[in-house]
Amino acid sequence: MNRRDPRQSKHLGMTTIHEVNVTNTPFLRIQTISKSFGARTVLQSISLDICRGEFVTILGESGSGKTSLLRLLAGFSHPDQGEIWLDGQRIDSLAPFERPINTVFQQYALFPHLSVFDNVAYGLRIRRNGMPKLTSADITQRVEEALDLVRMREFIQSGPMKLSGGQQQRVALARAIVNRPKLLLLDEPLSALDANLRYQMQDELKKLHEQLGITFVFVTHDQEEAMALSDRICLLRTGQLEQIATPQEIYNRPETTYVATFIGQTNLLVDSIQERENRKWGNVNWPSFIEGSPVFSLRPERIYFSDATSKVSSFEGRVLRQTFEGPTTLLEVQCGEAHHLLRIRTSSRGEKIEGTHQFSFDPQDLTPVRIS
Amino acid sequence: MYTKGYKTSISLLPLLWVSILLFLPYVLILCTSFWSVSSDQVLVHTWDFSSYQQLVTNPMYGKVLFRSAKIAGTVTLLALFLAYPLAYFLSFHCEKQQKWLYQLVILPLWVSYLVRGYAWKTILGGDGVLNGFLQYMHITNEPLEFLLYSPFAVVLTLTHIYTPFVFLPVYAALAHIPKNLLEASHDLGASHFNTFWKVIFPLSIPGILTGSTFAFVLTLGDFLAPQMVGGASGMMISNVVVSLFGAAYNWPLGSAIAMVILLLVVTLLSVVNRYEKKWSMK
Repeated sequence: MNRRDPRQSKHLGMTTIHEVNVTNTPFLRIQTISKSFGARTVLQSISLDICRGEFVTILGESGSGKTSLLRLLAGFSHPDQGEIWLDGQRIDSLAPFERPINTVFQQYALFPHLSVFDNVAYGLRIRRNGMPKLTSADITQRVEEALDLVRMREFIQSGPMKLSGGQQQRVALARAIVNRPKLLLLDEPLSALDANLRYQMQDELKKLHEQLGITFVFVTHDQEEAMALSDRICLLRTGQLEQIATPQEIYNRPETTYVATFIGQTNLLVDSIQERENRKWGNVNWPSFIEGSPVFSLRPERIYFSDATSKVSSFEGRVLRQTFEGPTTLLEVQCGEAHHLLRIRTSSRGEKIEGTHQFSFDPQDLTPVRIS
Repeated sequence: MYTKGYKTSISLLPLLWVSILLFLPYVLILCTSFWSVSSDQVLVHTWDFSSYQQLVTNPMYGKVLFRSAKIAGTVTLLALFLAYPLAYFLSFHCEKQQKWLYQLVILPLWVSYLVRGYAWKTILGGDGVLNGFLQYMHITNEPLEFLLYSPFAVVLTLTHIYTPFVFLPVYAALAHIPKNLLEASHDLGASHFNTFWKVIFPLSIPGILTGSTFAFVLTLGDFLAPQMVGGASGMMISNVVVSLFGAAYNWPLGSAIAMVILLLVVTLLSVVNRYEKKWSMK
């Protein structure tokens, strides 16, 4: 991963600082964008910089404003406030057909009256202002190349309505990338596909991104998909930017309680630490940096079984429930005298685990989070 | 699946009325067209082509049929030019008043055909509303005679009557175009103009064909409007059929004309059907 934005957030101990490095201006700059529909504010002063060639996922629940943000980028709606710059050009007031951007739609949006070839050739035949006209031989060649990339060459003369969902999505992808856009927007392109096909398409998208070097902005509500695909994840919540960071950072170092719980499962430790009840948690060596921070996140898989002799932060807990997840088993464990419930993920084969056990964790895995 | 008894009982009634009300009349008309009328005005059940011969030899019938087709074609085109922009506006640029305006277009269909015919008579007549207004404004000194009892009056009346029939299928076709197709077109660099000609118009062709067929076929067979506002010069083929079955008492000739019109309409419908299939989803 050498395409990292230098502006990513970094955790140094407790504090979060943004390392601002403006040696190269960002490829896509979204600057204090706001948008409301009537009395309803859908985006509130969003700022976001994206590097050339980056794969950025905009992640959020329904109603988070992620689709609205994508539509602002595509040009289907225009921001009330703020600016959008792409490769040194201000684009926020341009019409969609004036932007060097293409979109892959959630419902594919293939033209039902045109063949696969004509669908893919659509953008090439029109060409935006100032672009040289292509000869029909050029068009044919580029359409075929694009269809080869998505492995749909054999369906070149088919009607799109006869294709399956996955095939239609590939054609939609080819129709967008054949124009060699500066920015490719993908609006939940995989959400209508079933699980196996979705994983396969995720793989292909990732490969395609590496092959083409086009900047991808991908919208999804699926955390796992975001983690699997992105260079960076931009988590939106009710129209506001909650955190933008690499998947590793956003998972291991969530900044807020919302991020910690939205992406993966976690244990939020509040009272037990703040009230200095660590005595009651066995011999846990609470690290000194926890003082002054109200809430911590501790991922279930960062807690291990340990033997009683272990000295590092071990504590006793009683297993109340267990859920077999396949590769792992999730335990609900009661620990300390405050009856704190912890979720612990072990890599067992699902054998029954009962009674009281010793557990431990590495204090470095405690992540301070803001309440949000 | 369904039992045989159920299938039989459920299809009995439709079969019955289709045979009595549709099949039998067509057969009767076909038979009648091959009979003839004797000199003392009696229907003779001899089988010959005399009626069809008359149709070909007397140029009057061809002339009226051609005029009818011309009027039907004009009405269809006019209705299309009136209905398409309205349907386009309603489906793409008018979210709030859409329902309300739609009802307004449909409203005349609830009013009797005769009332609408008489309304035009009142407007176009020698001492009608339009002539009165023109004279009051001193634009003309005497009533304009060509307004009423002319092909012009027939075209005007029929256009008014059949425009909703064109509007409905065109509107249905336009309203069914997914909005994300327009966004996809813009996204791929097409302007509004290009998007209309490359996406919206092709996808509305089935609606245009259905609506135009409605207007053309219904106009071609219309006899009330020409009778009310057409006069001698605005007479259409159905008026000829009516007079042949009535005053002239020549049922065979009337039936022969009816068969010719039927053949024309069926041919037209099958051609349109083929084109509709060609233009529907690939």
